[in-house]
Formats: sequence, structure tokens, C-alpha cells
Amino acid sequence: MVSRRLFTQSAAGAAAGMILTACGPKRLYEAPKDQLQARIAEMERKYKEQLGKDIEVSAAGPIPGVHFAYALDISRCIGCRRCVYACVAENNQSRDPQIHWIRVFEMEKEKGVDFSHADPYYNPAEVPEEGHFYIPVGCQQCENPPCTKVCPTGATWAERDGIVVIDYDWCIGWP
Amino acid sequence: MRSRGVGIVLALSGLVLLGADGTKVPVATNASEHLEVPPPPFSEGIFPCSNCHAGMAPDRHRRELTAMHTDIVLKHDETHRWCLDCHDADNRDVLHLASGELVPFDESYRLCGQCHGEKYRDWRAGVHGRRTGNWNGAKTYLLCVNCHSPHQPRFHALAPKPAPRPPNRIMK
Repeated sequence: MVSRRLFTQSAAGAAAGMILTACGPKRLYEAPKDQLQARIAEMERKYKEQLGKDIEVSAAGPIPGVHFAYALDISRCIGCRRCVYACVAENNQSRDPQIHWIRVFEMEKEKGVDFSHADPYYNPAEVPEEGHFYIPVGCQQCENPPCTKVCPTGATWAERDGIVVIDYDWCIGWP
Repeated sequence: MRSRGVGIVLALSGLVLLGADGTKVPVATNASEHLEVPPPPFSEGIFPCSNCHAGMAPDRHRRELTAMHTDIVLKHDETHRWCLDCHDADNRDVLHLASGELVPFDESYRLCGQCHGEKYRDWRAGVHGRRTGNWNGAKTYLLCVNCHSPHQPRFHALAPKPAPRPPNRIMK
């Protein structure tokens, strides 16, 4: 078992190491054109080898003048948790140990939005339950996301068109 | 590469598109504009309705159906509505608007939109319902009736997926 402090130190060390030794741009669209072309050609070659057919990799970035935002209509949520499991399947998250990136809270209409009385473990035969409403909590796609600032490995960032992304290969699951 | 992690967001079904100035939600309200839609979800073998109705004189009296269509239970403002408010008695293979204008089944959203104007507007803007294809290009709209039964539009209650395991039991 790695102690939390030791882990913190090694993670910080790893992060510092990465920044110090990093040579070259961190994002594809920051790379000079010729470098980018070379990397794309390399990817296409690798994918062709893996898949046995011609693959075209696009370097098209965010569309200028377009900004994505995220909206959620709480009045339409019935607390069925379909989104929780769709997210696990789509992103191939761990089943055991169980990782749910979306958590749905059941709240009482009488109390309003009150997280001290919110229940994520509700388990009735059918939803929605009388007198209750539901709030699914997941990534809010913040315009100014705090998670990207504290991430020790630089695994998460906001794209120029507003989409907040995570690079699985860099993410170490730092809570 | 930039699609990594985006799936988490898309799974939530609420992605809305805004222009850079925040006002460019593409709302089209021209009813004559053609929309790509999937085939309406008819019961098997029921369409075209004229197959059976062609030789029958329409009975316009509001009544309980006993000979046919007994599987249809109307729970959609049923105290004020019945079959011929939406289905056309003279041309059985189409619907009609309150104005009398005939609309084919693959334009039934215009019929729904007569009462549900706000939902219709949201659906056209991409806030309500589902579309497939490109958000800024060719797309297919699911019809209202692909999700809601026109005769009983309210969704039924359903069993929730399993609750998350509490922290002390995350491992099996």
C-alpha cells in the first residue's frame, strides 16, 4: 500500500519530470505543420498495420466561431440511471472496482436542491418516485474548469471550442 | 485525438450548440421545409389504412371502438379528443391539422406542434428529442411518435439501473 504522502511526492515528481523533459508541443494543433504531417503519417501507417486497411487521420481542429456548451434539463430527469451505465460502457470504465463518473441524486421536492438530504443509493421498484426529483452529477463542461488546473499530469484540458477532454493515457486517477 | 473523454459528456444527452455569440441556436420554423425522418412506427400490417377502410363508410360519431383497434387506449386529453381529431375520415392514409390541411404521417410533428408549440420549437432547435447525423450538416430527426405513443404520450415509470455500491463495498 502506497501512503498518500509518498504517492503525492512521486506524482509531483513525475509531473515535474514530464514538464522538464518535455520537448516539443503538448497539443497536436500547437505543433509546426511539418511535424504534424509527420505524426499523422506515422499514425496512419500504424493504424493501417493494425487494421489492415487505409485509414485517414484528420488534423482538423475546432471549428472557428463554434463554442460547445452543456445543458441539462432537471425537470425531465426521472432517475433511471441509464446515463450512468451508458457512460461506463462508452468510456470503458472499470466495473470492478466500480467506477461511475455520473452519480444520480434523488432529492425531495419538499426540501428542494439540498445535497445534505440527497440520496445516491435510492433503489425503488420504479422511478420517478412520488414527491422526488433527480439530479445527475457528472462533468459540467465548465467554461473555466478547475480540474484542468490541479491535474498533476496535464491529462485534462479545455479545447478551444469549449469541450473539456481527458486523455486516458495520461490520467492516473488522481481524485 | 481530441475526442478522448468526450464520450462522458455525450452520454448525458444534453449537449446544446451555441454560436460564439451565444445566439446561433439554429431554429427553423418553416413548416414546408422538408425534414429527414425515420419511417413512422406503424403497427405491423396496419398501413396503408385504406387497405381496410377503402370500402367502409366513415362513422363520425364519437364512440368506443369494439370491432377493431381495441388495443388502442386513448390517454391523451381523451375527454376532449378522439380518433378523427387527428386521423382524416376522408383520406385514411393521412392526418389532418385543425385547419383541415392534410399532412402525411412522416410530417406528424406538424400535427403535434399545434398544441405542443414549445416542445415543437425545442425539437426543431435540437433541445428536445433525438437527431442522428451532423449537428451542422445533414441530419435525421426522430419523430415525436418514435418516442411517445400518440395515443398515450406520457412515458411509463421504469425500473432504475442498480444503485452504485457504497464506498466500503466498491470491491466485491
